[in-house]
Amino acid sequence: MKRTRLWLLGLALCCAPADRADTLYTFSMDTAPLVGNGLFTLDFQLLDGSGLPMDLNNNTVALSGFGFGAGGSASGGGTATGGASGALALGVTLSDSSFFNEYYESFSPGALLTFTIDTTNVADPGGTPDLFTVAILDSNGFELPTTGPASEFLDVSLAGGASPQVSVFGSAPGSVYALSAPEVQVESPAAAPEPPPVWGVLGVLVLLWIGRWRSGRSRRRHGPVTSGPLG
Amino acid sequence: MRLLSILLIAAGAASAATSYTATNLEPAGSPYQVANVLALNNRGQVLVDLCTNGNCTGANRLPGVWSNGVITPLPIPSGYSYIAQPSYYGINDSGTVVGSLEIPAANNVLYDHVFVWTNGVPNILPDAPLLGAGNICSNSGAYQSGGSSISYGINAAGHIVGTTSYPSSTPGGPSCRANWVYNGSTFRVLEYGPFSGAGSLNWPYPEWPFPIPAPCQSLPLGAYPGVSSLAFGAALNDADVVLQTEQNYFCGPPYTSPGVPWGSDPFVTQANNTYSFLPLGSLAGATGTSVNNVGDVLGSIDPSHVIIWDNNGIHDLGPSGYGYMNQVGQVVYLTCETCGGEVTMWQNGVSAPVQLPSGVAGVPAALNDAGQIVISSAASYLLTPAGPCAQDVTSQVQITRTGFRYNHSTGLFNLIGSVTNTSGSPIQGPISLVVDNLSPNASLDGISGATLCEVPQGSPYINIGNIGAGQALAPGASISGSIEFIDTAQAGIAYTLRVLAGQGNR
Repeated sequence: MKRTRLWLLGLALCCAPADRADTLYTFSMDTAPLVGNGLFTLDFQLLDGSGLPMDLNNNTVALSGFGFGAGGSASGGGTATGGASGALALGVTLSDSSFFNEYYESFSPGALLTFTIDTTNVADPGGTPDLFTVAILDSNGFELPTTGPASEFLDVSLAGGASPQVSVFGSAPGSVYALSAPEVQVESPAAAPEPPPVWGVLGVLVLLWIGRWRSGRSRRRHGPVTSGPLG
Repeated sequence: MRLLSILLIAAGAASAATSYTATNLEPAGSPYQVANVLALNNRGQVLVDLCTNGNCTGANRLPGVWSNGVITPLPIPSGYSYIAQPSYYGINDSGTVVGSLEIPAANNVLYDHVFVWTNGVPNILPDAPLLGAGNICSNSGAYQSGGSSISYGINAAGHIVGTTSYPSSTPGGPSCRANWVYNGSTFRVLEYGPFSGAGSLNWPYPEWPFPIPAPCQSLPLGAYPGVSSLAFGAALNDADVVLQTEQNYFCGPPYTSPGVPWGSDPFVTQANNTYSFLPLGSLAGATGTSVNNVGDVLGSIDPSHVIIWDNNGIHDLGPSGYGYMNQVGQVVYLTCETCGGEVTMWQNGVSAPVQLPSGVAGVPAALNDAGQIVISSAASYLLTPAGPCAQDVTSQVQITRTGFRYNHSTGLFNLIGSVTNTSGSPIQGPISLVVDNLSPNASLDGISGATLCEVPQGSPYINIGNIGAGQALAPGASISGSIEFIDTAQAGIAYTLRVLAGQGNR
């Protein structure tokens, strides 16, 4: 019975999402005002809270299911920096493996930009949360101005707690392109895409310890009898 | 001169009608005498040019750092000699010093080299690699061998701006030179492509004899902005933006020779190597001296006038000299040196005399972001703004941090967040968000000043929320937005925050 409970503990620590349950959002944004004005660039950033080792490697944002609406498409050939990888056509992943993690790729706008955001939400010990943002860059590589503090359309602040803090912004007044703030809807908590490193390692260690304990018991069972508890 | 788009801030203006306390930089009983002031950082450390026991020659002349009443000389490596040239030296807020030392070569020619003193320990920088394929510099079979380098300054991240020249490979042949920025591992050699138009010179350019820029062949006699074969001097801000001055080539026979009146134009080179000349307006020419993080430029013209370029245009301060500018956009200078000059502070287009403490006289020699001024004459003094300190209200507010985003439009990292008054009482303005313990690789942009009253000293701060003196942040009210950081290495930004409020020094 005790052994069974230990196995369950190990499995739980190893594989369960614990407090890192992912949150799944759908992002949709009316990009019709951009249609016919050439290529723009989707800019995704996941910036760590500090770049210090204690704050790195605890959050991942996965983007998938990109849709651009009629006439829209991704151009391919994006640029990934730091812990970013992928492509709009295949899906993009950003991890806070360094301070600055960014993926950007140009696209031809259609009527509606949609994609799915699957993010973890672990607070950084340093106190400044990791922040995932979405912006659109013009042909000069500059952000389309928005009412956001850093010209972004979406903030997802990964401060821990029940869910990330989400803020959306529309175009700044007087902008060349008048874009409404995107709609971001929570779909569901999703299964974690991979075991959380710390708990996973701890779980593996528990499993290994259990295995070792079991081996020991086996050796004791078949070897010379010594003093000590038999478990 | 970039326009700030920070939602959260309102730039504060230190009053020019400040009273000061004076500290003599020569401690009683010290064996060292201050011959010149070289630089001042935000921690109140003064880099000085020292004489020893009244002897200012040979090994008795050396650089040192004055800090809290103690002078610590900087060691000079064996074989090298100190060059007492203030423009070759700098000190940043980490206390790292850059300077230039000279050493005689085998042919008895003096070569200069750049040294960096970290925690007082000197290390030599290599000469910038200007040799090799595609470059005109030659160092093989040299008439003289080896490069010679000098430094012009160091920024908060420890990046250094300087210049390196290589001698001719043949007697009478062209030597060559280029300015550069060194980031601790690599040199960014600054290019001079535009100056000669079509068929322009490549960097590094020949230094002597100067080749005739191609456009000169078809231009009437005169000096023309942008037609040049030489850039001299350099200053660097925390965003690795470089200020240089080009010396216009005098076009038309006899083309150029010493003594011909040259014009000169300051120009700014961004970190991506794009460049722009500063507008001259009615000025015939000017020389750039320093550039701050928001792009304000300090310069001068001859006969001596201090010139400032900012978002409001060109400001000619009239007959004046000894100008020094800080990150806040304040400029301390001496009015009319030849007619009983007065130490004066300029900010936002307004000049006001500095009230020197009794017994202090001299010319400005440095200015930092906390408003400290060094005045130098027979004796040198550090002037510190006097008066009450603002109140630390950190425990009365809740600081909420959303996170960082890099803004491609500005090249800066925005820290998004808010400050909420969680006390039951109004918090009196101005309200200053202080960034303490900031990573050395990062700088706060668009600052209102640096702390002076409470430790840690020298921390940058920004006044937030457009709440001036006499106004207050009501209980429960919030200020939200972002503050901006420079982090050219994108290496990360660690910090702690403090909130100071009310009138008084920060």
